[in-house]
Amino acid sequence: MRGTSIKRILAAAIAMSLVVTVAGCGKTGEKATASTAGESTAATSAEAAAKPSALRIITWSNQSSVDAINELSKKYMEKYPNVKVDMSVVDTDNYPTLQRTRLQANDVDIVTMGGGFVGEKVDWAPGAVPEWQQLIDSGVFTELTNQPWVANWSTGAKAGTYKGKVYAISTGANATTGIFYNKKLFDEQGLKLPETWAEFEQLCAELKARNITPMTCGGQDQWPYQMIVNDVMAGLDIDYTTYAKGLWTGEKKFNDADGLKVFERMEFINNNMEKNFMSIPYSAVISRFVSGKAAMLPDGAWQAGEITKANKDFQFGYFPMPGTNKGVNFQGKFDLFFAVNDKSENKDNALNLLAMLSDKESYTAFVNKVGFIPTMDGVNITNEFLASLLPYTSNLKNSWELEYRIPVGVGQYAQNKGFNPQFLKSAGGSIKTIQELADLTQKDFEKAAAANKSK
Amino acid sequence: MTGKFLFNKKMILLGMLPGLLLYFCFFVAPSIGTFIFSFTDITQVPGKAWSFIGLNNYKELIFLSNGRDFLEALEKTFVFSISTTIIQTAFSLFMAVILCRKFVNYRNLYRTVIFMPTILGVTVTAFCFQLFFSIDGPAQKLLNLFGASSGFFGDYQWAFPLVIFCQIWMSAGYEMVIFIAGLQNIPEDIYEASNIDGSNEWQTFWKITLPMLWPTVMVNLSLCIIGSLSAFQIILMTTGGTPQTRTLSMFVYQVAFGMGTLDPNAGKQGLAAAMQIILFTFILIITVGSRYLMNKVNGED
Repeated sequence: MRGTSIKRILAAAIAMSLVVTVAGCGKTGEKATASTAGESTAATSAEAAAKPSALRIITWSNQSSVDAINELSKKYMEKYPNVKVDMSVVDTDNYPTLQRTRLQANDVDIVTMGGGFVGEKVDWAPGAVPEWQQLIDSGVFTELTNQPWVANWSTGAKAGTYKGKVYAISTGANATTGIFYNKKLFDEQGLKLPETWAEFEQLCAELKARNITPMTCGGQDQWPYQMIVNDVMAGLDIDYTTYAKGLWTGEKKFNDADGLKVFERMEFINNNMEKNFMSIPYSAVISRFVSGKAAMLPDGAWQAGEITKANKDFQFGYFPMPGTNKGVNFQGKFDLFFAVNDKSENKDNALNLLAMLSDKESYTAFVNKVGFIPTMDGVNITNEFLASLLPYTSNLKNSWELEYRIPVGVGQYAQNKGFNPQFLKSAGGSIKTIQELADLTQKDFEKAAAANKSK
Repeated sequence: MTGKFLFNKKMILLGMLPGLLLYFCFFVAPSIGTFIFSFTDITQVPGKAWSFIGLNNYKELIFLSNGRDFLEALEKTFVFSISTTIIQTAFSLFMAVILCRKFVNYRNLYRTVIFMPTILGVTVTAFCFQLFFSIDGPAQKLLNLFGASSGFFGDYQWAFPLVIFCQIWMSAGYEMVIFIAGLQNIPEDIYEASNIDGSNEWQTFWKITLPMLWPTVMVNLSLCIIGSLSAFQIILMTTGGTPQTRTLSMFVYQVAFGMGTLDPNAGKQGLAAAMQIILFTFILIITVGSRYLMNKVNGED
């Protein structure tokens, strides 16, 4: 009897705890914004900033960007002491999921983006609508065109313009088709920087002959390795719009001479990478490069800050991946866009932050911290690495990945940047020859493109 | 008086209500929602209007461009499920039988050690294995002693078997505990009688232990089949869902949540819902079919 009573009491307690749990469920952040709920959207910036409120920013885990945004946030909170800036950071791979879910839940005020407004839907690539375009068409981002500080930006506002309206500001551009190299090692070994692909092949052969691994890469995360396709395309002197369109019209193919050249060069890169590079996580690649496991690291220029953080005495340089002919320049993309969630309750706080960032003094500190190419004129660059890069990035061209139009539902061989050399045996994949992979890629693309056109 | 008031039929039903609500909110409603969304073009893009598109999602999977990837994921799902079920069940049954023997000292210690991975969780397990099988990890050093090396989770050939191994390592303890509970319910005098009759260990296992344990075996097999057909967490945490390890559940996750890919299919939750319904159908058929076969083996109607 006593045991039965204890069981009944326990059952009742469990039931009550479930009730409490369900009652406690609710959206986080509601309490923080409760004080601003019901406010008129016509409230002035000063009034909005005076009431206790929040400013939620999301970004991905590039340390230089995170540090720069943190410093900007500190300055912002000094000016607006009643606003608490809350930044959420996740790794690059999971950032798109965070972005989508936070926007769905209306739990963000400022969204940072990496890609910019390129690759918009075109007539010759039916079905392929990039996500940024879908977000703008759905009214997710606030239009910034008439904000007084937009005029401060030179390329920064232009990069975030769609159909003549500004929806985001790019706070910097990045070179993505370069290779970091170990300066000290190169000097000790008497090695020269290659200016052509043939010289690059020779350099890698020399390094191997001296038992030095030519390159390393964070292959486990997939995208750092796939990004190298941009480097190879940059060296082939291809007009990207013509090539991307040609793939859809049938004039260009993944298994034609140009396409095979890309696969051929990527196979060369596979064969000169660290052994088992596809199991190296991106988070470990800087320490491997800095500790001398490899002489070179093909990566985006944003890694310069990370390299310095890993070892401030490590001497490194950055050169563009060479091409068939001399004179290949860096290519890249506008980066670290700031966009405002149009449904945000803290829109005025968000606009105030962008206004602060648009001030030349604030932006100068920001861009020198983040290490990106400035998108505002007349900025004094004190970042040494950035200063060395500027002469080669005055007219930064968009890299291949921003022009490729992926058909909806395309098979795995033609996804990402179209060329997926991770399937080759040289990268630990299952496909033995580049011809076989090129044919599979073309087949996947044709099938999907035909399906897209028929809809 | 208070006892009669609190524990009458209506109050008991009221007490069950929170649990039923939770079950409805987190299981029934999402399941119905998934079925409905599989006929729509809903995406993860906030604010984007969606509409009903009939069977287009199902047609895209089976007939259109990504059919091959879908079928490869389905094939991997079956391989994953069959390997995991057979090896995990056999191993956990073997360990349960051994660890119920009185002559084995420190039985509880061994049971605890084998059960420990179950409570670690997927993230910790994946982290441990990634460290162990990293490019400079202990496994690599061991291979280097023999002049070999491997990409492990990044290797086309070895990533999938490794993931299967991780899944078995993580779940075998749970099955073992269920088997031990079943074994402890078999009366001792039956074993004494079989000893007197002169049966050896092998005969005892096949003629007495296994038939009496069969209901427990059926439960474990069902749980294992359902769990392995829908498992993707260990794949996500160890390999991120590379093509060589992409089961259908992993594929559903990648399509539903984008996973950072530039593929326009990323975030297409209507398509992911259709894939999930197809997977559910397979799980249902296989589970019902396997239960029917197991009951037949057991000689039940």
